[in-house]
Amino acid sequence: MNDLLFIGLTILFFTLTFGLVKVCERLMDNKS
Amino acid sequence: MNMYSLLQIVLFMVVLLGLAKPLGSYMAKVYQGEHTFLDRVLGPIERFIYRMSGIDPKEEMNWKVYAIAMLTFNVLGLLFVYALQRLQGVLPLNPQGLGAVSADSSWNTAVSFASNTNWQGYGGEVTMSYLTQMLGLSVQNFVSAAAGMAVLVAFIRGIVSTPLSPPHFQNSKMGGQRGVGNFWVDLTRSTLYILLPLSIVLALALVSQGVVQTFSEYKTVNGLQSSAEQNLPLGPAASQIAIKQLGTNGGGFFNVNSAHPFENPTPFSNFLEMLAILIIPAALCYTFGVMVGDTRQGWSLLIVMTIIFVALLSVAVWSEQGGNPAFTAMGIDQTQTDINPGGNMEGKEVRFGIVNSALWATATTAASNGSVNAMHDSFMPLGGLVTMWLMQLGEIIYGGAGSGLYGMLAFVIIAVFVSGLMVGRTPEYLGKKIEAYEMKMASIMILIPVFVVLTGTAVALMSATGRATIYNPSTHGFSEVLYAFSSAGNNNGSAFAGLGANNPFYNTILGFAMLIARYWLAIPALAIAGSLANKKKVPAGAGTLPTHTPLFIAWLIGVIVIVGALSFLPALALGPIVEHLVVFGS
Repeated sequence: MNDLLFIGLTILFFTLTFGLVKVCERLMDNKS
Repeated sequence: MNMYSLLQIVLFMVVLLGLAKPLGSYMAKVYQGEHTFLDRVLGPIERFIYRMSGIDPKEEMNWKVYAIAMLTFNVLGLLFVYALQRLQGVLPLNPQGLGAVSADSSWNTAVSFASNTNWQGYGGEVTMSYLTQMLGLSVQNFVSAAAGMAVLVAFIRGIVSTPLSPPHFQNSKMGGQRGVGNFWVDLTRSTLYILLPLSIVLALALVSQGVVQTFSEYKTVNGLQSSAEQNLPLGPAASQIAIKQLGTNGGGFFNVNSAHPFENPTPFSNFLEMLAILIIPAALCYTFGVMVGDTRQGWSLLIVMTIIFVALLSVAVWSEQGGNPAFTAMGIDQTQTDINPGGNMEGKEVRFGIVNSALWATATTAASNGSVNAMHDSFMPLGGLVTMWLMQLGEIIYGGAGSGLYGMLAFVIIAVFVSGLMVGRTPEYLGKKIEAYEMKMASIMILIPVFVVLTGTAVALMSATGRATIYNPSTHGFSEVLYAFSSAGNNNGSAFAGLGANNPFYNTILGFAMLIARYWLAIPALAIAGSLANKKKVPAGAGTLPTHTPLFIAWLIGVIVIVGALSFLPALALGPIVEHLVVFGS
C-alpha cells in the first residue's frame, strides 16, 4: 500500500513537471 | 589562525584554480565533439552504447524534447532505486542480511540520489546492502551529475546558437526551432569521458590512503582501549566516495560520511576529496568561456564565485578558530599552538583540525555536495550561518556539477537586465537580447528555492509532527529545521543533525523539496536555452554592458548578495544570529 502511495506521488510530481514544460512552452509561443 | 592554516587554504585555492583551465578545456572538447586523448579507448564504448540504445548521436533536440528526455530518464532512475531498496533483502551482495528499507525512507533516498541532493535520512552501514550502494546509489551519483552537466551544456548552446537559415528552417524536424544538443549524447559523454576517468583515478588515490574497497562482510574486532568487541563496517566504499565528491553528490557510504576514517583516513585524502568537491564546477566556468568563444566570460564568473567563497570561508575559519565561550568557562584551553588546533573542536576530527573542517564545510555547502568531515551542528553559530547561507544563495558559488553554473547564469540574466533598465537600453548577454521571457524564467529559477525553503521550514515548525523530532530546543532547533530545508531545497544534502528526519513526515516533505528544487529549475533553464537559441546575435555596441570587467563582477556579486540577504536574513536572524548573540552576550 505504501509502495503504491510513493509511486503515485512520484508520478504525480513528474506529471506536474511535464505540465511546467507545457507552461514554459506556451509562454514562449505567446512571446513570439 | 597561524601560518600553517593559511598555507593550507592558499595551497587549496591555488591547486583548485590551477586545475580549472586544463580540465575546463578538456570538458569543452568533450562537449563540442572534438578529439580527446581518451577517444581511442572510449570511442568504441560510446558508439556501442548508442547502437545498443538506438540513439542517433547526430540528432538534435529542441529544448522541450531535451527536457522530456531528461525527466523521463530521471523518473525511471528514481523508481529503479526505490525498487532496489525495497527488494534488497532478497537480492545478492548483502552479506549482512539487511532487510528492505521502509517505503518512506526508500522514496526519500531515491529522490535524493536522482536529484543529485544525496540527503541521507538513513545510516549507510546499517541500512543499505552493497548491491543497493553500488547499483542504486553509485550509479545515480554518476548519472545525476551527468544530467546536471547536460542541462548546463544545453544552456550554453542556447547562448551560442543562432537561428536556422531559411533552407534549414524549412527542413527542420523541430518546427524551425534551433536544437540545444542531444540529451543522451551529453549524458553519455559526461559520464564516460569526464566522471568515469576522474573517479577511477580518485578512487585509486583514496585506496592508497586507506579508504576501504572490499566485498567482505563486516569484521568483529577487540578494541585497543577496552576488551569490548567492535563491529567494523566495510564495503566497496572508495569507488562510491570518488564519484560522490566529483559529482557534487555527497552521500556517504557510512553514516558519518567523510568524518569516518574508512571514508577519509588522512589529511591527504581530505585534501583530495575537498578538491574533488569543487573541481568540476570550477572548471565548468572555463568550459563555458571556451564554448561561448570568450574565456574572459568564464573567468569572470569563476572570480565572482571565488570572491564570495573566500569571504565566507574567512568568516567560518574565524568563527571556529575563535572558540566557544562555554568551553572557556569550563577551563578548556582553546589557544592554537603547533600541537593544539585550538578553537571550537567539538564535532571535528583531530586529524583535520579547524581549518580543514571549516574549509570542507564551506566547500561542501558552496557546491551542492553535502558530504561532511565535521558535524555542522557543532559549529559556532556564525560558522553554521555560513554553511546555511551558502546553500540559500542557490548553490551557485561553484555549485553543483552543471546546476551551479546554470543557476549562476540565471543571476547573470537578472544582473544584466537590471543594469539595462538603469541605463535605458535593451539588455543583452553575449550578443543575445535578454527580454521579458528570459527574465520570467530566471526569476522562477531564483524564487522557487526561496519559496521551498521558507515554506517548508514554516510548515515543519507549525506542525506537531515536525516539532516532535527537534532534539535541541530554542534557536538551535530552529536552525536545524531551517538547515534541513535549505539543504533539501537547494539540492545540497548535508545535514545539521540534531533533527530526527528519518520519519514519514520529513522523508516526504523533504523529498518534495528536493524534487522541486531540481526539476523546476532545470526546466526554466532549458526554456531559456530554447528561447536564446532562436535569437539572432546582436553585435556589441557602445551601449553594450561588458560582462567580463571588474565593474560587472562587482555588480553581479552585489545582486547575488542582495537577493540572498533579502530572502533569508529574517530567517537567519531567528536562528544563528540570535544564537550568536545569546552565546556571546552571556
